[in-house]
Amino acid sequence: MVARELFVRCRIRNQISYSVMTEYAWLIPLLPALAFGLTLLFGRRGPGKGAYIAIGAICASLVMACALAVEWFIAGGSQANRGLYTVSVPWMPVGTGAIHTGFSIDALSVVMLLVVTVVASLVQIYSIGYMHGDPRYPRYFAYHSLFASAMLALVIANNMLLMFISWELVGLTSYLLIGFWFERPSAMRAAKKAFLVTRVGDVGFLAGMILLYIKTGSFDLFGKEGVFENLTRLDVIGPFGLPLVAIAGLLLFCGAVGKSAQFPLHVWLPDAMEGPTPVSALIHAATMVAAGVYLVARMYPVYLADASGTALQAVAYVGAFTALFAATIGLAQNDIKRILAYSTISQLGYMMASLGVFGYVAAVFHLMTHAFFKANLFLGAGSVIHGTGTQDIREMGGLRRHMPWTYWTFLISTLSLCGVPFVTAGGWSKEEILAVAWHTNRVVFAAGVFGALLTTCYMFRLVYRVFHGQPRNTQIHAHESPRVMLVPLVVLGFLAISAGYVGTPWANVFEHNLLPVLGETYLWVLEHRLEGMGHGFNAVVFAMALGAVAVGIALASLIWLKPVLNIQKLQPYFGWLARLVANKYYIDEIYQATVIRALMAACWIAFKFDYWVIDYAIVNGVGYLTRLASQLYGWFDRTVVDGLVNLIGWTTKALGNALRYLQTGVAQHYVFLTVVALVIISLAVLVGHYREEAWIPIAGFYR
Amino acid sequence: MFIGNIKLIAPALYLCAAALVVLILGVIAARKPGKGLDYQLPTQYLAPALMFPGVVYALWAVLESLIEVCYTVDVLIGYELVRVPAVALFVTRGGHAQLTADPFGALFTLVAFAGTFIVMLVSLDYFDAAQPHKAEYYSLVMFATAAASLAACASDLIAIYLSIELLSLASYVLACFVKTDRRSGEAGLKYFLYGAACSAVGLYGMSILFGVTGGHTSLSAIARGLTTPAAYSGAAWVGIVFTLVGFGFKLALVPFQFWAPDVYQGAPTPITAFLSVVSKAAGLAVLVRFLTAAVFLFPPQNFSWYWILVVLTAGSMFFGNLVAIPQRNIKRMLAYSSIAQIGYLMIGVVSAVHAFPSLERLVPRLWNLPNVIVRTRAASWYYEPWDMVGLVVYIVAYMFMNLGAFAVVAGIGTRTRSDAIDDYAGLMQRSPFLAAALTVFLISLAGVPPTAGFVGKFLIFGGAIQHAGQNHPELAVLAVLGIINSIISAYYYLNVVRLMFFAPAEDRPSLRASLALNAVVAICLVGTLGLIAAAGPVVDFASLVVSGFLD
Repeated sequence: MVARELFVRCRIRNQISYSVMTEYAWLIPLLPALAFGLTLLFGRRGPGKGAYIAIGAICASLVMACALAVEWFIAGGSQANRGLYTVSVPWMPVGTGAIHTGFSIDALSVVMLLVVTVVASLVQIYSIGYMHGDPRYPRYFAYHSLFASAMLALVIANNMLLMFISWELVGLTSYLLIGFWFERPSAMRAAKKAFLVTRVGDVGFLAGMILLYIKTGSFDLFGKEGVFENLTRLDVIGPFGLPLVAIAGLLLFCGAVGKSAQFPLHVWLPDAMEGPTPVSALIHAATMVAAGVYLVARMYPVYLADASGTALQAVAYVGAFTALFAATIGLAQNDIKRILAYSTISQLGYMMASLGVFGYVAAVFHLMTHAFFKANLFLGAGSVIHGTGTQDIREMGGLRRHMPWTYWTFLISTLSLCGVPFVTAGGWSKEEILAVAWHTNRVVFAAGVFGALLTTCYMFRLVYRVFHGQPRNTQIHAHESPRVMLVPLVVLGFLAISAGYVGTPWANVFEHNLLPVLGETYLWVLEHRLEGMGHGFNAVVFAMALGAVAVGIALASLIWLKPVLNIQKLQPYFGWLARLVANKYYIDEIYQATVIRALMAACWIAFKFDYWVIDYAIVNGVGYLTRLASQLYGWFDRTVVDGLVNLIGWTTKALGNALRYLQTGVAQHYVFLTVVALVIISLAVLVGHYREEAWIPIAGFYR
Repeated sequence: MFIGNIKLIAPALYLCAAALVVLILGVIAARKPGKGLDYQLPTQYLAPALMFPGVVYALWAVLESLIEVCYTVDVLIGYELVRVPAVALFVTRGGHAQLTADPFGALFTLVAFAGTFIVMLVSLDYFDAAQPHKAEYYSLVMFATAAASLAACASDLIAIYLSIELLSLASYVLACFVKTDRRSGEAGLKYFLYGAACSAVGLYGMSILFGVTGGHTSLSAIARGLTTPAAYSGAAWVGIVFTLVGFGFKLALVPFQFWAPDVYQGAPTPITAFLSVVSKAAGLAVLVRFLTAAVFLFPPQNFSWYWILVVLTAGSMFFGNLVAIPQRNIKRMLAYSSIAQIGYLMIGVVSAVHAFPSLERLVPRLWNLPNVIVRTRAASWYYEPWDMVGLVVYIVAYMFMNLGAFAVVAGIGTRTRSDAIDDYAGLMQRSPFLAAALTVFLISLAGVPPTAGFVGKFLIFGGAIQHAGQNHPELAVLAVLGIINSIISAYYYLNVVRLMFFAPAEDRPSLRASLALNAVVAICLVGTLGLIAAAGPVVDFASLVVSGFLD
């Protein structure tokens, strides 16, 4: 009854009535969490060696996410602003108040829930085929469930603390899954690298979070006492002449840079490809790496509140630079997964750049479409690796005939990635980004168009090398993958085309539902920033994007399909450039030579200092003196202190022994003793009573 | 007479009905053991199956009572219109309720019910299927629980005496239930003899109170009667003290503890568990209600029942803990330990009596405004909830940890045929789960974090120290004595742990626990360890319960 009244109160507070589905959305992350426990404990004996537990849980979450999407996007379309549903419960008391935790559902959460559950469920189904026969098969699915749970919790968290916890948990699962084949030293190293590099960014996230907490007094994002309502308290000039809110935005962005593999913390993502390919598809392409973008999008009010715009400019330029930078590296790689990894970095750069130029909706839209087609590309790559047993594209060729399903789905997603307008999902989202950039920042726009050209080049290079031409290695007998792997490919291929139609410039359901997430104040700010930008179709931008794609395909075809242009001839002139790009601009080597070596040197110095000064001189010296003193104390302790302690112990025991003789076992004695006690008590009471004769009971009454 | 909202005590009524069902079906089934009805519907499974809905029902009653306590009703009794709380039942002329099903009483009912459910699961493991007279056994347990539940709500001397007597009589029979065991018979007889003596003294005290207050049995009427100068005499003191003897016997408070060790050791272990938790919870609820409702106007500054209780509290802690040390039998050790535990609980009781500002609490009850019969939102009486919260949380924690310990002891006793502490040596190798669980229960009894016992002790000692600041140094002294006693108790609790983990097992076979035993130990483990995780909500709930405490 108490609980019922509490529920009623929650509902009244929100005014709008929400469906049961929304109120129980917390089940969505909970189910995979349960599956994690079950699979870990009973995996080997569970159905499908635990795979079906995990898949069942994620599919249930998927169904719930779909129901939510219907409610918020389709059924809610007429109500336009469904706003926000949020529930907080006290978590732990701090000082006079309490830290709350809870979940919130708004359009952004729903999009993320849908993306994560769709991709995760398809990837898990695909993994049945891909991981077949692996000795740690149940554990793989357990980790997958843990990841899904943490990621889903991240996107429905309504406070920064829970976000941070989930954020670290997805990092942990990423670490576990990259190093899943930990027998391979390279996998182990890659896992460690990923964990440590992202941790560098997380320090920024943590610092930003604490800064926001100190100034607003809350970890909650929403509500009167929440962070977003009280951002004006950060509107003071802090270090470097920047307003504190910009500092907070930049710090949060550090976290996003780490997680989303933006320059200069991008180095971990290509190495992360050591993990099983479905993991790369789910975590290192579609969902977890997009968490950085999600973070910036979720905390967008912080960036909008920064009147100087510094934080957003940093986001824009870092993103645009990363988009170009990673695309160039992608041109010169030979490992199929690494090419896709650089492509991921580049596309995440696009999203960041879009957020930086006020393309809030465009970024989230691109996040969604990218999740689908990039997951498809990775799963296709997995299928290729599964069929050929190698990852090196120089050994492949002509796979089109052997793996038709893989080829066609891969091609569709490639087109989507290149951003072919009108027909692919990637086209719609990329053009939306470019349209915003055209309006607000032409530098970013130029980078975006040139990046699209490069993207097309390296992707078609990949497609031509892998699927066209003749087989280069006769040892490889390629075969199509089993059906359980092809079904996810087809579904994702379908989504790589169709997902774009929710956000066409003419009927932008996506924008219509997503913008209210920001809340009235910040929505006004955003609209003010985008003032003058026409809604609808921007023909110039579309023409330029189409041109970039066309030129890219043409170039790629001329170089790699029909070798009309021989790039070998450029070798003497641009060989240094090719080497530079092929070696990833020597970024890893630079880090090795500077940061890591400096760290190692510092470690060495610290070690020597510790060994000689602390251990030898101080600790041993003190130890010697202490030993002398302790021998004195020891004598004192043994005779005097221990003697006292033993005396107390002995007394206690003796008392116990003495008292137990009261318990004779004879019932008559018991009653007699009780009567004696009763007489003593009664006498005491009566004596007390007559000594206090002057006392009047009524005095106590009016005390 | 105004019957009142009968559904508040419906769990007890349900339990009586269920007990009758168990008795009738069980007796029919016992005619052909192992066949027919006994095979289809064995009594030892029927009883817990009927008990579990009772636990849920009792939980519901707590929630219902939390809402009902916010209301008063105006009722016409005789020719008089009186305003009584909506949780008052069987209200007689003058507005005196015989039962008060307030959240406090309902919560103790819940503790009794949940404890009995656990005891039944322990019995399932302890007795084999061929146990004779199981219908009588289980139905007696259920009647005793119903009596405990009524005792927790009783606010009239007659109701108190009858419910406590019903509880006691059922307990006497249960204590000597294993007729083939000489010790069990001895336990039952000693319990009966001692109990009869104490009960007689208690009844004598009640009759004195009846006399000096002008012929009233209701606690609230006695409270009013005691405030008149006429009632103030040596006789009233003697009446109060004698009445306390009757309650002290139920609690095994020093110096009325003599029965406990022999009975605990001799009785079948599930019944020992029942006596140590359910029976004590009922006694505690009655004591708290008697003190706070009937005699709280006798000011505690003077030499009164308050000081007696302070001395008995300290005495219980020291006696229980000191004598537990030399014990070689674990049931006997736990008997002394529960004497000490009641001492800790009594600290909560003696500091609770300070929470009652006397006059202010009387006022709403003395209203007799002429009105139509309506339900009115009652004035809420809020006071500092610390101390009573400690009491309520500790009794819940005590239920889990003590029943858990007895469950393990019962399980090991049936398997090794020994209750000697020395036979616990090397239990870790023989049954890791039971050994680990017993460790948790024992350190919880000692009050070590992160266990429920720690939370309870923290709240009780904290409440005492909080109240000590207001001219009551004796409460601080009691808290310090409680802490010293916790240290003493750690010695004999951890001695068992030491034996289990570090002493060699001497090549004895490993023990196989049954499903019932594992389940009951798991339930108690969850309660013991979960209470600290949920400490915040539990404390909130407990303060909700005690803020609705009516006298």
